Amino acid sequence: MGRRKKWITAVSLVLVMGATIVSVFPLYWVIATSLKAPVDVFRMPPVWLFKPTLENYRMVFSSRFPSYFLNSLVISVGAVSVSLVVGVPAAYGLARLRIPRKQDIDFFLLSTRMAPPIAFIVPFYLMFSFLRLVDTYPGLILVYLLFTTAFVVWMMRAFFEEVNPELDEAGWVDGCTRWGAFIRIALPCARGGLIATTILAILLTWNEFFYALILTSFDTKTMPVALPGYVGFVRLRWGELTAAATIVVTPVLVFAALVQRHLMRGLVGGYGYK
Amino acid sequence: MSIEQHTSKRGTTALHSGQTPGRSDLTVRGLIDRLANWDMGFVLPAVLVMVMLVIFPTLYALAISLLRWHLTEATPPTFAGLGNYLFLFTETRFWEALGRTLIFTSVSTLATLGLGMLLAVLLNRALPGKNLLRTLLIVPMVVTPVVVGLTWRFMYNPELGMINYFISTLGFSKVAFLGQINTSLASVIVTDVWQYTPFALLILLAGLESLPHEPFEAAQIDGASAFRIFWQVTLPMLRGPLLVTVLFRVMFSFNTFDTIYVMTGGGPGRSSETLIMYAYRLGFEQWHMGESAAAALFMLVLVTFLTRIILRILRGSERAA
Amino acid sequence: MTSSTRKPIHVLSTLLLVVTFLAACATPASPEATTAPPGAPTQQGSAPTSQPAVPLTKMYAGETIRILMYEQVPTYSTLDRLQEFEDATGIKVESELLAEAEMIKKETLDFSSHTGTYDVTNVHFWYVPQFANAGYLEPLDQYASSMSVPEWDSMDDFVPSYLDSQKYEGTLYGLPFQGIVQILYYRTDLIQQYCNGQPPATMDELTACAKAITDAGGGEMFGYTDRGSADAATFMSPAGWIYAWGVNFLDDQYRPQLTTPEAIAAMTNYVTLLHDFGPIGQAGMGWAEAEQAILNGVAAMHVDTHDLGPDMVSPERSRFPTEIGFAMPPKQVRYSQDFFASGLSINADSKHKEAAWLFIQWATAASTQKEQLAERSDFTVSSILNSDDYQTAVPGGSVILEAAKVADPAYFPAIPEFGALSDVFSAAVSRMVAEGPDSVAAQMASANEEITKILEDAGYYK
Repeated sequence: MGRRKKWITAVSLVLVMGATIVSVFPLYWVIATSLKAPVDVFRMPPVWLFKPTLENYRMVFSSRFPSYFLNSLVISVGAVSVSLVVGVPAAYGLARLRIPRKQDIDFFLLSTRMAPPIAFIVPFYLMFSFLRLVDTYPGLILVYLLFTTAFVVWMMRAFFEEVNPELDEAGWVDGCTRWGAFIRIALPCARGGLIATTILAILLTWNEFFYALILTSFDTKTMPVALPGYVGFVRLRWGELTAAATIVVTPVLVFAALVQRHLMRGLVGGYGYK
Repeated sequence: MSIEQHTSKRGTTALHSGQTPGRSDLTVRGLIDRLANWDMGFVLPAVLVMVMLVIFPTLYALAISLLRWHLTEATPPTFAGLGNYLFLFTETRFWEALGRTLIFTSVSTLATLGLGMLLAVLLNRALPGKNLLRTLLIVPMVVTPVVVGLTWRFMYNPELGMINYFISTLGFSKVAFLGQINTSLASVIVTDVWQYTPFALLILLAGLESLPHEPFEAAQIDGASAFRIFWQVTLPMLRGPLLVTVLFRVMFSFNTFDTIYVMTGGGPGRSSETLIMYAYRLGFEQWHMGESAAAALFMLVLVTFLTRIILRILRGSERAA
Repeated sequence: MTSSTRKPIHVLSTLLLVVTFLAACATPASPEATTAPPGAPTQQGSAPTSQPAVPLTKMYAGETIRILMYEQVPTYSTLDRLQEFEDATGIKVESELLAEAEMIKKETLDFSSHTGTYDVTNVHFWYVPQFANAGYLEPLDQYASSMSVPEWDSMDDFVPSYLDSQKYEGTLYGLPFQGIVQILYYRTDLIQQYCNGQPPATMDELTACAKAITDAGGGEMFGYTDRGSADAATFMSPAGWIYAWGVNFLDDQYRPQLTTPEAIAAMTNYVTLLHDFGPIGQAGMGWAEAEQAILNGVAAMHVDTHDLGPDMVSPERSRFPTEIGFAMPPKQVRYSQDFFASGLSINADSKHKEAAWLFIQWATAASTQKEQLAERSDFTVSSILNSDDYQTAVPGGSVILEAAKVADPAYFPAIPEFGALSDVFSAAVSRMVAEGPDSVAAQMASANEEITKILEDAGYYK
């Protein structure tokens, strides 16, 4: 019996590692390219061992890119924070509490996520020009709130529904308010989901392109808008593009990696009634 | 009044409906408690935000879709009624794009669901290096879509790309994935699946990890096979995360734009042109704003319809269970 | 005094000192900043050698203008010298740079919503008719005649075709910022070996040479490469090819000419070159991949815009930097074309039009362009193109000059609806390239029909 289990584990490991290689390879290519001199980038057969150069990074850092990084950071963190504050309680409410017209609210929130950005670009641009919100942090955060909140609500709702309702109700009986039960009982139980949601929400805003393009300008340009700039009609600056792309990717990966541990830790204590 | 039974350490008590826990006297503490028990208060902020940000743009977009507004013309926009919609419904290009979108969405969603589920199950075991693997598996989703598109475009290139390089070393002839009419859509789908499998993986894995152990132990004691356990115990309990995954995957892939735009531009010919690409071309290359808005709104209606169906299927059976 | 009150007093007194110090230093400011409005006498009843009237360049000092341009070399090399402009005029410039496609979206949105966010925008020559017609651009003739700064005036120096591309119905709407013509890039070693050492001059020679190289290439080396993908950028090359056969994309009555024997012959040739003698997957290759194919040595010849030269001869980017030659584009009845120009225009809704005018004059001035000789090759003034410095500094300089003489924007349907035309035609081209020369007749016919319908709809055939 033990050997069979070992065999299954081995096969699983092989499959997973295969998937990992496929997942990671393009990023490896991006990072490797960012360290190559231009002539090596598309050399065929590919150059596996090459002399790395930091020239591309130097060029990216000496451009306006660092300010774009800051903008992305402020906007993403701002939008995600607010959407968590607004969305997580809403998710709990929809999962647990008696809300009138629950199904409708549910669906309405979901539907906000469905619209193709194209439909809303022109209206938002006009609306925001009028309100002088173009190229401001609050402006773009507001727009991102739009789709991040819906996402947060739906994700967290699924996780709250997984939590045993008896726990909350026990809390109510014991004298907790709804809010108290939410904060002290349900939220810790759904910690795993909360972390997954936060990671995904950050990703959504960090990489968003269309709205950022139209609604930002000198002051608030974010990184995704800057990336296609390296793909000109005449010059495709691969080195800088990949260097910039690596810079864009790294913080989120690091964040996800760090938070993974908490995911594990949070879940061990998550059953509540063992 | 309905009565709910609650069992806690203190024994069973009955809570009448409408009676909220906590204090309810008129002190400040009491008022705070009242607020903390206001059910609607949980939901209201979210709803208000959404209403503000959605109603106006949608109405505006609807208004545009009823106009004949060509930015190429100097004349001001005129009312066109349902003319734009009529135009779309009589255009073969529109229907072909719709068909491709449906294919793209369904294949991509099913593939990411399947792969994500498989990987989640595999990762749920105690594997060595699990944390590291999990972080690495997220990578595709983390890379900015524009970069994903560009990278894959060059990877697919017969002369300059890695995929064909490997194919040729294995002895097969090179394939122009993005340059052939019969492979362009499939190639674009592969990239989409690659990019969003981590999404499914993350959600399903979180779901799996928070499942209680007892039902599994009970089933194993009962002597059920692994497969049966998965089908009859695991999946039903995962209904919530599964629903979320499917819903959002459908919505995302319906709106996939950056990657396709960069990889094929909808070509060769129109072989990889999805609805959103068509709407984009109408609006930002032909500058026919009315038709573009109509196409986009049609997409919105279609997606709403699809998600309603999905909800009914997945949620409805949940209620029956 | 206790320590807690001492500290704020220290801070305050320091602040006071700093402020007085700054105020003292600030007073010997530039006298021009506080000068009376232009024309008004500056001093009362003094000797005739009074302070001169405000020079034109300084009249709008203190204003700020916002410009929108796209990420490319000439933009960088011009903006690197922004300090010169700011010193000369006292006008502050805020620049926003975006990728080309994104810039176009943004500027169109800005124009059409009349928000006037940008004072100056970079406009591709094929958008001038559309924007001018819609009233988005400020007519420049009056500025050119009454507000011209002598040292920046290059009106007589601009290459005629570049300048004309900025006009609509006779009125000038932009100053030419960059001008590009088409040339043929080829591998000298391969031409030596397979094409008798002479770069092809006609379309027939081009086809024969490409065939020879491809046949000898054994699947690793191909004779010719060009744009074949379905995106908007593809449009220029095949349109230029059709031009070479003597026919324009649209005739005088705006009727598409795609079903004429000349156009069909042109496209058959283009498709044959790409499908039969080009690298695999041409239908998915844009200008970037085509250029890369030359840089990598996979393809031997490529006809494209002249500014790829520096890349081709640079050892950092090219694997064959010393084996690249430049020649005139191939000729059938006429030379094929890739003419491209972009200009700087003033937004009709701008609130700083005069300051904007000063900027665009400076940015396109021959003197300013001259400083950038080492960095770019797409100048718009004849004096530079004719100069020896240019001939020696720019790869293919002499050829570029020749090509500029035959440059003709007429190959391109520069009407507002060109976006729709490009959409249809580029898709058709990529389809033909994917399917081969036999598909040309049918595809051209259906494209012609679609385009006719689009133009009819837009009211061209009343």
